[in-house]
Amino acid sequence: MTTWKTALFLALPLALSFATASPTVASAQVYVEVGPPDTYVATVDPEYFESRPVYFYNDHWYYRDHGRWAYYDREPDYLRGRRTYWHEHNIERRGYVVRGNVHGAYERGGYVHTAPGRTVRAPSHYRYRR
Amino acid sequence: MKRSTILSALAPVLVSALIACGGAAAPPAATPASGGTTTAAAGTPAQADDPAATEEQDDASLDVQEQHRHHSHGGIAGFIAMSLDGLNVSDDQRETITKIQHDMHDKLRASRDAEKALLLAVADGVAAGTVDRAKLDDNIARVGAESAKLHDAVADSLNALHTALTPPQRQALVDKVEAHLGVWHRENEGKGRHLAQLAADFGLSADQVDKIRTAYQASNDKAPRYDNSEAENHVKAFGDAFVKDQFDAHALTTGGAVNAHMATWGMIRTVNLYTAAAPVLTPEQRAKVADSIRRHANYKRSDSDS
Repeated sequence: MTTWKTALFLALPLALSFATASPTVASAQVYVEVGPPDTYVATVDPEYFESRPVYFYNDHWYYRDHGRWAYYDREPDYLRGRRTYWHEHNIERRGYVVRGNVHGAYERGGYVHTAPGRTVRAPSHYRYRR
Repeated sequence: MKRSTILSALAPVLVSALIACGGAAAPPAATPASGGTTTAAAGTPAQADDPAATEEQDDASLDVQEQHRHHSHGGIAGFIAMSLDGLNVSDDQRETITKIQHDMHDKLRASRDAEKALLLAVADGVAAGTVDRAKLDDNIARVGAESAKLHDAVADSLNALHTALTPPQRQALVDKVEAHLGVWHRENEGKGRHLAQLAADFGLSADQVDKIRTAYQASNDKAPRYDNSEAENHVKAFGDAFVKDQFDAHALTTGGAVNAHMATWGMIRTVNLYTAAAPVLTPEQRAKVADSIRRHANYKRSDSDS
């Protein structure tokens, strides 16, 4: 009995430390201090998933969780199926100018690496410049 | 026997620990709303791995930045109307939302007309090489006065909007209004961001920029103070209320003052910038800048705009 108690005494802190330590494997969502730029959120159409708006930005799905920005580390199947639509939508509606220290943009067919300063596609229209 | 007993007793504890730290037994795709949220590093934001950390500027983003540098939009009321452009509503909702948006634009019209008159006067001054700042005080005051009325004017539209939108769409609207406010503050409050863009758009020399900056900052130093938190607090109050099942825009009491302060402050800075720039620009630059200001003065906020 003494041995059993000793083992439990030793194992419990170990188990608790595992439970509270930072996990080393990918998880469902990742909180970030900086979400998509305000200019993007202000002008992009959201997708709706799990009863909330989600925003497809830089190849990830972002959303607000109690005021904090997070993205899905493992992409839910439904959202994976919506990628093609939003790729097309962003190309069609937004146009992309790549500037400064950035490394990619959306083009038909997916996210591609581009040289800074390259204009990927002229916009089909400007929403606020009528 | 004793060893097996010990293992049996410890097994649940160890398995629980394994699950809790996200091991192989971790459940897939936790649903935050269900309380099953996990994070990659509890308490440690993963900014270094944040895909959004590399800012990407597309034309829509540049467009809204330029728009916010030139318009007060009647404050938050205008941001709400703008946000309706991109809510991804269903076909069944579209007609209702479009009607509400048109109603809001109609109620924003007096403020917009006041802003238009002011911008056209500024454009004329820039084209002539001098902006008579004192003559524009009445125009600025009119923009503020009309904007002060907007919250009450659109309150019924906001209530109709709340009824028409689903809870996730209400949250999306709040996200967008907050984002518009963030963009608007950044475009207008920065030390020379508007000036930097003017320099880039119209090829101003370093000497011209220095002269304009000196005069611009001097006039801004004399302008009434503006507190960002006033608008941020109002947007938070609006957002907190709007995502609830029951909402009454009439119960929000800070909208009128916030809209007036935003519109007045924003237009003062715009006027100050062009007042400082007009005598420094070359005739060719003046013509181009004046055309740009007129384009903003005359732009249409909706298809129903005249």
